[in-house]
Amino acid sequence: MLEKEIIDDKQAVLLIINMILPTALLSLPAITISIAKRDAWISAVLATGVGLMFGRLVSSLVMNFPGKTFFEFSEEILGRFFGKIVGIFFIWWLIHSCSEIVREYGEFLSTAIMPDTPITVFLVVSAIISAYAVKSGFEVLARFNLLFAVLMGVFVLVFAISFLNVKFTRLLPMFDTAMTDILKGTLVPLSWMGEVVVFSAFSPVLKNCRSVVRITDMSILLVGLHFFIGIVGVLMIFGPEVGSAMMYPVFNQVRMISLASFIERLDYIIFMSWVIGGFIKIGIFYFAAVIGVSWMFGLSDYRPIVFPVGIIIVALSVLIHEGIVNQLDFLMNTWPFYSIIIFETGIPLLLWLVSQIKNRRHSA
Amino acid sequence: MKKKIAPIIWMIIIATILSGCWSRKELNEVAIVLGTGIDLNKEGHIRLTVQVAVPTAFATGEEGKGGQKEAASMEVSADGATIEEAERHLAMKIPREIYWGHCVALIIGENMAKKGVRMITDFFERDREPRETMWVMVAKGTAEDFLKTSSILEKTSSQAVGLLTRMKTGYSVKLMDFTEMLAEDGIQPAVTGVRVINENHVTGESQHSGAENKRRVEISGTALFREDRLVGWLEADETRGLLWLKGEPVEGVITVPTPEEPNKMVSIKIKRGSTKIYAGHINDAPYFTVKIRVEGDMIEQQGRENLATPERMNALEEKMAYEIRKRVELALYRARNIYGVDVFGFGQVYHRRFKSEWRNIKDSWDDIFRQAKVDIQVEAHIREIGLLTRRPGTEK
Repeated sequence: MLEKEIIDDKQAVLLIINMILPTALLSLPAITISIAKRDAWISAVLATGVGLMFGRLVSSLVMNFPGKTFFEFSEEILGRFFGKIVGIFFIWWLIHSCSEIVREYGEFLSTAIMPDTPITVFLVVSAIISAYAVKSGFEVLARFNLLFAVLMGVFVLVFAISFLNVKFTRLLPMFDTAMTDILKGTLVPLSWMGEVVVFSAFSPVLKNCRSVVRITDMSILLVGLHFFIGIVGVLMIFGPEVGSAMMYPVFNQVRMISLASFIERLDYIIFMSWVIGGFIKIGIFYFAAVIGVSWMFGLSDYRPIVFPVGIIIVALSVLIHEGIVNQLDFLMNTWPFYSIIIFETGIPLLLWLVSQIKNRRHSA
Repeated sequence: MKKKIAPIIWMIIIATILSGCWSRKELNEVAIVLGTGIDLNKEGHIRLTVQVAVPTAFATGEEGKGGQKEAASMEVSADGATIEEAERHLAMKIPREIYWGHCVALIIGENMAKKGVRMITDFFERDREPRETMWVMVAKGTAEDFLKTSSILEKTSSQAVGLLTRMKTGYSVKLMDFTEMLAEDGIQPAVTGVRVINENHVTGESQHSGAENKRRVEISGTALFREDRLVGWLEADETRGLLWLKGEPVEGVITVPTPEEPNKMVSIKIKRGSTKIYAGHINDAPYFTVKIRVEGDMIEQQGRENLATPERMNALEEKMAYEIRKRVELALYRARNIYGVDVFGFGQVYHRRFKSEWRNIKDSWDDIFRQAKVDIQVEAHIREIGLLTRRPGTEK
C-alpha cells in the first residue's frame, strides 16, 4: 500500500512534531494551567518524561514488525478476528480525533479571526485541502511539512518577541499547587504526546526502520520543549488566574506584543502558521485513518477512499459538539482518559505484551 | 482541448474566491473607536461613550486659513444594561460599524469605578476586537466629559491621554495587567487617574482663543481599588512612591535642598532604579524589607556651593535617599493605613516566600498587612553632574 513512499529521519521527526503541536499550542496551555495552576510547567516536564515511554512503546512495536502498519501487525499479533476488532477501534479513534481537530480549528478561526463566517465553511475547506494533500501521497505531505518548518522560524521569532513581556516572579512560588493537581495536569499534555501512536499507522514509509527509537525520542523531547515554553510563557505573561481563564492564551500573548510601539499586531503571523500547521495535523490523522479503512476493506490502493473518509470526518466534526463549551469540557475531562487509557497506551501495550509472550513461546 | 480549458476555469474560480473576504469591512464602512468611556447613569445603568475618529480630519494635513477647524473626533454616548447593549444603542446613532481594534484608552468614570469594574471589563477581554494593551484609567468626574475635552497638540483626547500614559509619568496600566491585578490574590488594583482641568482659572485670559479650548486633559494621581471598587486616590507625589514600591521604572526628577543652603534646591534626574522586597517574620507577624537602589544625574543647581566633592555628593545622595523614602512611606501610609488596601503586591511577595502560611492568612490579608512592619531602605547614587563642575564665579 505504501511501497513507493519514503521519507527520511529528519522529515519523520518534523512530521511527528507537527502531528502533535498545532492544536496543542491553541488549547493546551489554558487547560493545563487551569488544573495545575502556577506549576503547570512541572506537569509539562513530567508529561515529557512519560511521553518518552509512550514513544518507546510505539517504536519497539514498529521495530519488531518492519514494513508493517499498525493494522497489519495487530492482525499478526492478535490473529485475524481480534486484530480486525482492534484495528476497527483504532480507525474509529483516528477518525474521531481527526474530526475533533477539524472542529477545534474551525472554532478557533470563527472565535478569534472570522466571527461572521459559518463554522461549516472552515470545516469543509480544511477537510478539502487536507483531502487533496492526502490524495497526493504521503511524501507530498512530508515535504510540505518541511516547508512549514521554515515558516516555523518566523513563528519562533514572533514568539520570542512576546517574551519581552515576561515577569519571572509570576512563576513563584514553585510547588504551590498540590501534587495531585500537578499530576492531574500531566494528563492533558500527555494525551497530546500519546498521539505519537498515530505514527505507527504509516511507519513503513520510514527509510530506515532501525532509527525509529531516535526519531520518537527526538520528537517527543522537542514537543515537550514546546509545551514547556508555551506554558511558561503564558504563566510569566498573564499569571495563572488570567492565563487559565483565556480561551487561546498564546494568541493573546502574541497580541500583547508592542515593541517600541512600532512592531505590533503580529497575531496574524501566528494565526497563519497555526492554520498551516493545522492542515498538516489534520492531513496526518486523515492519512492514517484512510490507511486503516483501506486495510479494513483489503484495498490495494488507498486513494479511492480518501473522499468518503473525508466526508465522514467533516460530518462528524459538525455533529460532534454542540458548541465550544462542550468541546472544551470534552477535551478537559473526557479526552485525556479516553485516549490515553484505551488508544495511546492500552492497545499498544496489549499488542506489545502479546507479541512478547508469543516471541517467548516461539523461542522456548 | 479539455486540458486547455480546465486551467482557465480554475483560474476564474480562484480569482473570484481570492478577490474578497466573507466579512470584510472597508475603511469607509467602519467607525474607528479611539477611546471608550464608561459611566454610571442616573438610573444605575451603564453609559457608554465612544470617541470615534473622523477620517477626513485626519486626512487633511493643514487647516486652510480662516477655514473652520474640523473636529478630529466625535463623541457619542448611549445607555444600556451591559456594554454590548449600549453598543447596540450606539449603532442607532453612528451610521457605520463600530470597530474597537484601535481603541487606545478605556476610561472609567468615578461613579462606575465606585460601583465595581469587573462587570464592565469583561467585554473588552472577551471580544476579539479590543486590544489587551489598551490603557485603563479612572476619570475624576465622568468619562464622558473627559472624552469630550479636546486636545490641541494631539487630535483627540484619547490620543493625548494614550501618549501621556506611555510617558509613564503615572502608574500606567494595560487592560491585561489590570485584569491580572483583579484576579490574583495578594494584590489590589491601582490605575492611573485622569481629569479635565480648566486653565482659564489659572491664567485668567479667556478672550483670545475661545474659552472652550482652554480645557485640557491631564494625568492626575492614582486610583486605588479594593477588589473591583474604587476606594481612594493617591496624589502625584504619592504615585511616585507607589511606582518605587512596585519596582516600575520611574522617570522623573527629584528635587532636594542643597546641603548647606537649605532654601536653594538641586534637581536630580533619575536614570535607573531597582526595587527588591523581602518578606520575613517577626514574632510570627509578617515583616517586609524594601530595598530601593536608585541612580541619577544632577541636572540643576540653584545655590552657590561647590558640590563636586565626594563628601558633598555623599550628603546630597543621602538627601536624595531621604526624599525617596519619604515618598514611599507617604504612598504606603495613604494606601495601607487610610484606605487599607495592598496595591503594592506585598501579599504576593509574602506568598512567594511562605506559601503554606499564606494559605491560612490570605483571606484576612488586608488586616494583617495593616499591622505588618515595613522597613524601607534607600540607597541613592549620583553618577553624572553635567557640563559644569560648579557654578562659575563661586567658591572653589
